[in-house]
Amino acid sequence: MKVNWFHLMPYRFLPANFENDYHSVWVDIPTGLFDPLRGHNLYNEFLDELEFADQMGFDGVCVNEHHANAYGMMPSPNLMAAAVARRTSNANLIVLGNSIAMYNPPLRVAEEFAMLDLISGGRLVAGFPVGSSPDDNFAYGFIPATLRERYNEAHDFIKKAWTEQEPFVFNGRYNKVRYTNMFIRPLQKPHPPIWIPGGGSVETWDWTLDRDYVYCALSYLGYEYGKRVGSGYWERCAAKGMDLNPYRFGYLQLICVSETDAQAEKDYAEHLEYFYNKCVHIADEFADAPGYRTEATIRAGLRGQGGNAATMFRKGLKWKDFVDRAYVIAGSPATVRDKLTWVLKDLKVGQLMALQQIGSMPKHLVLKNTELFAKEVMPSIKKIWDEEWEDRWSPRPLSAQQRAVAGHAEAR
Amino acid sequence: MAQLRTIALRGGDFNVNYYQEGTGEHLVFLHSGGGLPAFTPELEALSKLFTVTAPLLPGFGSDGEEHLHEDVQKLVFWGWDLLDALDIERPLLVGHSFGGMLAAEMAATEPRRVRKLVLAAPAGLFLAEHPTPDVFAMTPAALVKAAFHDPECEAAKALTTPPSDPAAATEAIVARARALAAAGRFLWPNGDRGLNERLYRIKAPTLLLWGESDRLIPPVYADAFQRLLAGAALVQMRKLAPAGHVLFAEQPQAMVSAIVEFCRA
Repeated sequence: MKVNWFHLMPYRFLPANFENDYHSVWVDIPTGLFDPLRGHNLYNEFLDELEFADQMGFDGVCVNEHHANAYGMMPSPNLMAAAVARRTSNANLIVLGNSIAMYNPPLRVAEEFAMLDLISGGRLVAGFPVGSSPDDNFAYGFIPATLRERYNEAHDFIKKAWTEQEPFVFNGRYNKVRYTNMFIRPLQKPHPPIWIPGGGSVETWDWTLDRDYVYCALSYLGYEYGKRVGSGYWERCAAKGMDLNPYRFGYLQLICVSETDAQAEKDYAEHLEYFYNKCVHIADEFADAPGYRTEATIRAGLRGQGGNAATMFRKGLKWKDFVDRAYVIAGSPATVRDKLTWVLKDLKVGQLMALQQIGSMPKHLVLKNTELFAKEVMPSIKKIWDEEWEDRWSPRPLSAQQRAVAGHAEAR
Repeated sequence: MAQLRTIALRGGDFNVNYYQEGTGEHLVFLHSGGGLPAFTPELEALSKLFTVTAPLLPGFGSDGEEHLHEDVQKLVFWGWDLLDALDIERPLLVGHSFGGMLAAEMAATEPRRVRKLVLAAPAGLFLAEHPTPDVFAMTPAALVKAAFHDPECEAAKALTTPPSDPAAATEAIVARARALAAAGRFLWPNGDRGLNERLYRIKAPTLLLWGESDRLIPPVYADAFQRLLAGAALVQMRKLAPAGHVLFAEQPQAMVSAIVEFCRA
């Protein structure tokens, strides 16, 4: 099992009655709620936390992209990954990812990912999400019906740019470049591993499997949603006659560890409630622009986690509900170890993304949560699948001897 | 009652379903983003005086919208290709809302092929000082509420009542998503795809019809259309009350009379 530490970077200071007084945490949230001085401290706090996860021995740290969003303060995850790259030396940099449909030309993403791979000595995972409807359609204005077409074109363009040995003309529908020429190349060959964060679109399972990428189920609904998406994904994998290697599947899980089950509630309940009541207070109208989901996905009844019912039934939930429904795996190290082991084996997860900074959780609790998990839970979790399966989808960085050391770097 | 007919365009890339009924001069009707669920009594009334052709737009009961990508020119060619295939040379062209935008675009592209143009609360412009509401970020109920002068009227209620049969309800959801997705190719995110720079090309005498309490495309847009239609042989404006955006549902008789009067003048 690969154990990675995921940061959403939520704004921790939304007003107490936010979910009742404001329309949505995403898209039309009043920018007056943001305090730049707090922003300065938050970004540095978040970076400290990512670096701490590296020190604690996590396999990777994960960042992602959101726009006009108070629970995800990362319009550019690449900036965060670049900052982390210089102050860590072990953890993989898992950027999940860049919404490539929106960048014209998407060469910019190819180049920035190559830079991150080079700076970090080959520790990059390149994540290519289609992008969420609130981000891509509402906050960035992209037409829902053609987003997937743009995405496919951007993907093909980036891969070709990474692998072609000569300058070439790219003549796409949405991108036309006479001289495509990536002078700087990624360190990893033929290119950094590609992981696809998915929201449950049925087409994306096939698309991901056909290209032998990792599919990542990123939701805040824990096992329940993971099971629906995971089952669909593994069914398609089996139908294609491909090996059911768990390392093909990434899964995000909210995790809260404390000394005892009771102490976990004392430590984290308030911050979980902040997360489920404020951070995912997403207006229904922005969850799913018409044309964003394909007809097949609508018929399959799979919705994003911002979708109507999803938001409704979370309202007013308390600690016990989150724990009982396994949205969050929480408690003493023993409790977390047992539940998490069961969930990861049942879902056949090989790439765990642990979300341990949740909602309004302040830094000292983030560090406590992370350290307890790393010391008391992670060692046994990492052993899952060891004997059975090989991870063919993680970065292949330079050896320690080959790697530049920050502060002492010199090219020869 | 007019039956739905089908004609294939562009080697089958598009199969267009359309109604056609009546005798006399050709009148082509382009429906709104609400679609055209039937050959309505208003079209029936017009067909007493004109040969009425009412196609279902791609995604609204005709297929092929994926071949349009997000290109207004491709949609305009779809419209003219259809009229070519149906041997309609120089029609009276009537469009409502999204269909009004298409009618205006068609008339700007082929100004000599439109005898008269009727634009009923057409989409296609965006005025920064009078922003239109985001129809794509409205729940179905909110959209109906904004579209009607009187959201409590029978026509409005009928639109907000989902089919009782679950399978039919699912199909209705899928059909609505598909139609809005298709309209979104040309109206996302704010309806402005450059029509303001093309309206000057329209030559046909043009009638603008607007509901006085239109909240989706407020009447101030009627004035903007009038101003921008600088090359039209004639521009007439009729504001209707009480009426919101759904003019044919709210003022069926007045709409038919206004269209007949203008087209036969």
